[in-house]
Amino acid sequence: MKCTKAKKHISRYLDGELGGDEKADFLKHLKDCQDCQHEYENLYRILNSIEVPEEISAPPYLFSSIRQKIHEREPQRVIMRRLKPVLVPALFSFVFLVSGLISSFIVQRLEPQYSKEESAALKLTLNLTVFDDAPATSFPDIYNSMISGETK
Amino acid sequence: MADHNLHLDQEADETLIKKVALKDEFAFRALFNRYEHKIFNLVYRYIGSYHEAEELTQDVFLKIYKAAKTFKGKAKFSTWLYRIAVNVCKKYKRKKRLILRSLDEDATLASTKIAREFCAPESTMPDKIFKQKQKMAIIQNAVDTLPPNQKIAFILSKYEGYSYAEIAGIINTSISAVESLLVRAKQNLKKKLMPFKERGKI
Repeated sequence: MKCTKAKKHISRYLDGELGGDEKADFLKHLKDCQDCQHEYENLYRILNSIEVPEEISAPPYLFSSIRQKIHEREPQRVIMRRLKPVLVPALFSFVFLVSGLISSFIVQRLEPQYSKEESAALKLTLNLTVFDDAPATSFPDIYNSMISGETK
Repeated sequence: MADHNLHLDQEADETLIKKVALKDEFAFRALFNRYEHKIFNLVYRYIGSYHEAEELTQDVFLKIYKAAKTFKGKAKFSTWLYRIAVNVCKKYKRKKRLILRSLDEDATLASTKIAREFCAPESTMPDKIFKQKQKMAIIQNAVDTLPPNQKIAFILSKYEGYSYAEIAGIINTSISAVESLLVRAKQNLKKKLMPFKERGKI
């Protein structure tokens, strides 16, 4: 066995992880090699002075704190699970409602707004006499806007 | 209920964790009782603060409770538990080191402070206790400054008495990797502790 390998084996030997032929070879090398013996003794002395720290006991309330943490999260989830069938459709209809309002607002803004005089002038210039007699309120707004849109 | 608990105390870890997956609190309690002390001490030895060890032990068991479903029984329960504990510790240390670095402080400041305090000549502590405490502080400081994987391998091997194969399972690596981590850890410790040994401090 070479010194490099033997030196690596020192750690395993000290931990009781070296066995069989490997152990026999290692011990044979150690007996004959002063350099490795020195290395082994140094490491042994250092590791031997490292005592296992005394065990300390955990605080007695540890489990109740953990239990508390488990339970303070659980109820929220239960509530969410129960509300889910209501909350999801409610959210969708709310989004639908808001988008409807926004789009109607936009359409309103796009639609040209004419004063009475202006629309009269417009009708005159475009020769739109057909709808004159009918009251403006009886026509759907969309129809009016179609006409004004087309004519714009 | 007492009978129920007695019965649970005799059940295997793997049976209990299956029950925990079904939110059985008695089973969880039984597992907690079985491992609380070990996990608390492991965390304390890695982190070095009682208060932080308390917090992190709670985190470990909360994780166990929440992740019980994911335990597939490929490894022993204790290996899985220790792996979670080690990961919680390492993540915490990493985070703490980042914070300390951003404050322009050394991560090992606390432990070196302890070491310096014990080395102060004006200390009035009785000689024997003083020497023992000084020795422990010096050793703790040396172990603390090991790189994370070397440190965890060393703690599991030297303090907790785990075999290389068990350590490999816990830190999710090969036995030969554990071996080389421990060779390096011991070399580093030798380098750090030799001067103290020569002066008879440890």
